[in-house]
Amino acid sequence: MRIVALGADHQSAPVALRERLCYARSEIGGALGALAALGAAEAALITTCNRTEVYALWPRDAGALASFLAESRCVRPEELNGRLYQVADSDAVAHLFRVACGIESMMVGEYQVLGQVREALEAAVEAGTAGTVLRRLFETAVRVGRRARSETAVGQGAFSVGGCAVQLARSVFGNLQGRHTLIVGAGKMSEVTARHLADQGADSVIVANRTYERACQLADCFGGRAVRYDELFECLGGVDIVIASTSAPHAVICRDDMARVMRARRGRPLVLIDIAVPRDVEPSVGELEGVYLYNIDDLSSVVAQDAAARHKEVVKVERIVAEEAEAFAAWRASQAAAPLIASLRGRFEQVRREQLERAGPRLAQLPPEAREAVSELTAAIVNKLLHAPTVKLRGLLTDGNGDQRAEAIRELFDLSEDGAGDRQ
Amino acid sequence: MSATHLVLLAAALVAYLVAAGCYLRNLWGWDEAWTRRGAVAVAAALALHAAALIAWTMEVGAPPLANTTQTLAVVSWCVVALYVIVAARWQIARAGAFVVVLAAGAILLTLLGPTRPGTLPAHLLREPTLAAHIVLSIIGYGAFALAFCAAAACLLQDFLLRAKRLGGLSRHLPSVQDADEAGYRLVVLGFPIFTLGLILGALNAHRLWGHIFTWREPKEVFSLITWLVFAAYLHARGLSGWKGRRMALLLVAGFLLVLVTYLGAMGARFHTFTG
Repeated sequence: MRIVALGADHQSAPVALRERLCYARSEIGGALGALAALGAAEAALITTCNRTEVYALWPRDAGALASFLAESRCVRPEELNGRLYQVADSDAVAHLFRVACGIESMMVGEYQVLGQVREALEAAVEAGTAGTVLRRLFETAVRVGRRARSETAVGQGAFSVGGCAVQLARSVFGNLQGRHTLIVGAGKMSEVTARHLADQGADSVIVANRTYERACQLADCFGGRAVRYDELFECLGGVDIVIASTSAPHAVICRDDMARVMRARRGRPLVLIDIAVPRDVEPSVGELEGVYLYNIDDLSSVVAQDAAARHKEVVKVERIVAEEAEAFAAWRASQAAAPLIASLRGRFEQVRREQLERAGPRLAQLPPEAREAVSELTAAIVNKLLHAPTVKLRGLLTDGNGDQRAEAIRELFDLSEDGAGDRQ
Repeated sequence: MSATHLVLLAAALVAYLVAAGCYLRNLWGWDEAWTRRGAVAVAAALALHAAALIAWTMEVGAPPLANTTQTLAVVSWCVVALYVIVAARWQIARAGAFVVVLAAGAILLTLLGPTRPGTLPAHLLREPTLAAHIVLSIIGYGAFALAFCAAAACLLQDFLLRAKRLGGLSRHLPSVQDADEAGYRLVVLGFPIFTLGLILGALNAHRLWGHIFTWREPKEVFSLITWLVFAAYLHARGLSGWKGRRMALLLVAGFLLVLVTYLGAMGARFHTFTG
């Protein structure tokens, strides 16, 4: 049976369609059950905000899978026209590997997708639709995803302005554990950035805001403390990282004030992240000894550079994907061919034994060594005859016509489905 | 004199160069595997280097401490050994490129350097106070050299961050603060040892040449200046709490003085041991 993959992602479908195709976690089990009822031997579903993909061992044509998706998501089938991609067999395998490596993602190399592939497998196991093939396929995909990220730089660098701020703070302080962060201006952007830093251990947060109540709210989110706006410069002496994003129309941190602060700090480094537009920090503050001042453009350009560097790694990842897809195909072929080869061998062996038995009376006149030689000779002939078919069969059964070919071979050699050699 | 120690030194040099290649490859790329390869090469180089020093001692019948060219091989071993000990603990493993380049340079100087006739007579090397003066000075120099590596990494990182170059190079260097801290710790470690070495040197000078200190001996003058610079560093850094780029620059200045004291003072009157 063929592995068929069918789905939509940010390249094939607009967001309006993608969001309708997206399954809620609670709906996945039901959908997998429905797929099994439609004839899928095995099935799994990857569903994220940017991607919905069905993987199935599917006996029917891919169109039926598309209609299933339309029906299951209450989308009119014609809406899906040209919006879905479908791949089968080794292409489907390679596609899943690429997805797991993050090179099909909008943000190349992102890590979340690896977790989503793992979740897809878990959901399929739970629903009972993950058999030998899909289980191995998804487990391999997760491993390939990890391999790509460790052997290439596809997962390296900053993915967002917040991630870039973390990178900068790391290059200045090393470990962020126990670092003090000061948020100036309690906007959404500063909250997101501070969250990134807090996730890395920069746990002590002080918030200074024009309206004290808002400062208190944000400080509560981080378990930090709020200070009045006029205490700002007193705080600057004791913190390590400052995130400025006020809506002030002019700079709130000037060079002269900062020079005084830095003198008191005696060269202790200070990371200043200015994500406000217009800027909160006078650009010349960055010239002060010990100050590392990055504005939103600086951070964005680092993010863009890192993204470009990751894009360059895609070629290497493709190489890994191709190698792993080939290994998977080889496993699949051995899986598919094994029972057939076994029954073929069983059939030949059976014939050999029958013929030896029939010749038994005549052979009885021979000395024991000669009888032994005849037995060995016939076994060698059988082995010789079966060698080429054994090797060739592995390749013949993997593509779309595999099932028909297997059927033809069974008929040709009169092998019953559950014949002598089929016990394995 | 047989050449076993030269062969081993050359092998160590090659291993250091391999390590330097690995570290530099890591600095300019993303692949973390190169740091591991670099660490393996450093371990191999250190072992070969140690073997060379032992072979040298056995061949000459005394440790290779008799002149500047010889001690260079010992100092560089101290630097690398110290690096291997503190690198992981003080987060400066990523400054490895500086260390191995320095070590390779030192060995190259030993191999190509002048085999000056003026060497310390072997009977003097057996005197405990003189031997201690030499050994302590060497350890002190080693700690200062490693502190210089940390300071250089600190300055380079500072430069990159100011130039807004957060790329691979910045990511593979120690952080500004870790490098700064490691430099300080190394001076804290090296300074008392170096001081003790100086005091023993003065005592030996008094015994051998009849003076404790003289302005006529460049090596003694530069040793004093070096000592003062590191004392100033410790004062500013340890007592007044100054950190960062300025302190790193002071360390670099201190190391340059170490070089002058150590190599530049070859024209010294008394430390040439010719008479």
